[in-house]
Amino acid sequence: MLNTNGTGAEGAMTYPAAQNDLNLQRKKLAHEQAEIRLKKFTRNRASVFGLAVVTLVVLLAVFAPVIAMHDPLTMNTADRLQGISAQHWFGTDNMGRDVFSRVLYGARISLTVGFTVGITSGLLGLIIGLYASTNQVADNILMRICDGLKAIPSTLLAITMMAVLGADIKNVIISLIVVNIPNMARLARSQALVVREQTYIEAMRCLGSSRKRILWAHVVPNILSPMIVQMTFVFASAIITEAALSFLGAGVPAPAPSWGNILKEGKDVIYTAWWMILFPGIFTALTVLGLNLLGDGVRDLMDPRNS
Amino acid sequence: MRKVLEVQNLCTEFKTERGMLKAVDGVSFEVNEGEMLGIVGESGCGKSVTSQSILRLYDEKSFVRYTGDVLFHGESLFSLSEKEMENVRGAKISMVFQDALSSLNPVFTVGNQITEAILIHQKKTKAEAKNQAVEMLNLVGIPDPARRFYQYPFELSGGMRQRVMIAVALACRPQLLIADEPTTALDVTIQAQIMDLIVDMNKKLDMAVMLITHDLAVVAETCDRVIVMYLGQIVEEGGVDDIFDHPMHPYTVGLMNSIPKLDTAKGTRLYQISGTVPLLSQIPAGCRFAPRCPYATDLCRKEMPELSRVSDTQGVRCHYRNERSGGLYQQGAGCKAG
Repeated sequence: MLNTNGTGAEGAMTYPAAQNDLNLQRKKLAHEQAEIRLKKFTRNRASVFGLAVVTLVVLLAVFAPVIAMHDPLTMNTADRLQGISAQHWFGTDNMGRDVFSRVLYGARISLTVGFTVGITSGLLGLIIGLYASTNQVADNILMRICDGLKAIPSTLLAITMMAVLGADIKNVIISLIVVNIPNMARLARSQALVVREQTYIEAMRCLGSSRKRILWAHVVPNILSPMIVQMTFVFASAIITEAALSFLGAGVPAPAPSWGNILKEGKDVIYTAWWMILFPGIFTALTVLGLNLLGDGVRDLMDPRNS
Repeated sequence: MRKVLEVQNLCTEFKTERGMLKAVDGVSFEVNEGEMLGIVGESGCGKSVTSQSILRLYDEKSFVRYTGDVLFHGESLFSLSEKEMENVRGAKISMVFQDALSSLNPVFTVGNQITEAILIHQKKTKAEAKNQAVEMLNLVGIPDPARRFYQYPFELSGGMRQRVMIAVALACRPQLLIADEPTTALDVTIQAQIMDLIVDMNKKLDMAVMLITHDLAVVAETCDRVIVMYLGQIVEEGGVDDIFDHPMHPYTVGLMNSIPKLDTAKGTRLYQISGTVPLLSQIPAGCRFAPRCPYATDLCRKEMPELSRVSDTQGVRCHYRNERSGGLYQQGAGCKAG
């Protein structure tokens, strides 16, 4: 890049710089930095694998109506518990529904729940954590609430909330958000407290930045990368918890093809129809694994310093 | 000469578990237009607290109390609201920190940070600010500024980063730059370059500089006037020639004797001021330097001397200033303990 067009460090120019010179430099650097990041990411095989798996699952979920050959909800008692065949790739369940179609549509539910929970709990946690880091009274109150929430095992808390709210996908999302906020808020708070003490924040104050501006324009970008990494892990754990809730009958209500639901129905016929638990199980495990590996890769990528 | 900054009897107290501690105790001085003022002293003698009190950087932490006043062009900074204070910081008084490596925000490009400094205070379009930022980078001697503009701080060397810091601090052309040990984290050659740059900016932009350092050599080379601080007080002040040719306070002399000299005979022990700076909670009763002073008498231990003028330019806080009107002998005289 540098050698080919020869305007490297040796080029003496006159200033104020022409706007197009600036733009040229910006493009060149952006290109170089993107290249370095891509290289850094692809060097980590595991995260590339994670990205591939997650992309595949997302594509399957998005194009489920096109790929699935059967309706995931149509029952067909004549075809109950059929094994793997060209007609039913993953066999059929105890009501004669096509497991392949149900797994694909299940991916939609799992990804929706995971994504929504990851993003929302991350954002709310960020706001709560930042607020706590700036106000001592609020800090005490908010963090004690978080401690209280964290003291209850998360699955138990989610089940309790589902019992109160009623079985519905919306309520699954709400209870998982509540379960995950304390971790996010704690992370945001602790990171913000570290960043606020850095010299560059003091330097910004010396330059006349207001407190609000420092908080949002300087503290937030610095704590964003651990937050995003944590969000991918929450994404993964939300998928597992959702499956667990459905498996226990406290999640997405019955006919909906969530992975947890398929597993729940499959456990009764585990000795005759192994395919009913194997495929949704594999999908759950792979997606979660993929997200975790991807999260690791994103962490390496987000930190501009480590090389 | 017009005064840019006037510090009047400044006291900064911090609330701690051991009660209120005075980190700065009755400091008064002024900085004139275009002047370069050096403030020297050991670690913990209140140099940095003085400078940060001027910008009221401790405000956010509620455990600080200021008394006295700081006037900037005759206007009291202590009576300004936080909002008004924000308009002073960066635009009129700027600061450069000692740790250049960590005083740039790691997630933003260099250009971004200079542009931001400009946009906070000046009504300019982004493009104008960008051009001005590149101009600033050029001014502080960064080669190929258009390229550096889009680089991140971690991609630059330490000296480069300190140059960028100076560019950020000077982006709005402040009338006063407070440089708090700007060269401490850098190696010797880069130190010289950065000092040259600060002196250069001082002349080019006609900007007063308050240089806080413990490096007397730097002060001798660059400053017009010098203030020597010890334990929150000014112990001696004067023109750079006064202080270096005929220092009067035993502490000043001690500091100078502690510097290795080229003509010192081989095998001679380097002078050191005995003892250490006492804790703020254990300030001695009389002259604060008395416990460490080789000339201390009973009077010194009982009564605190005033800072009084010995000439038009020089002032010293010592009971025995008149006995030493020609200045204390450097070397030898003070070589008590070693």
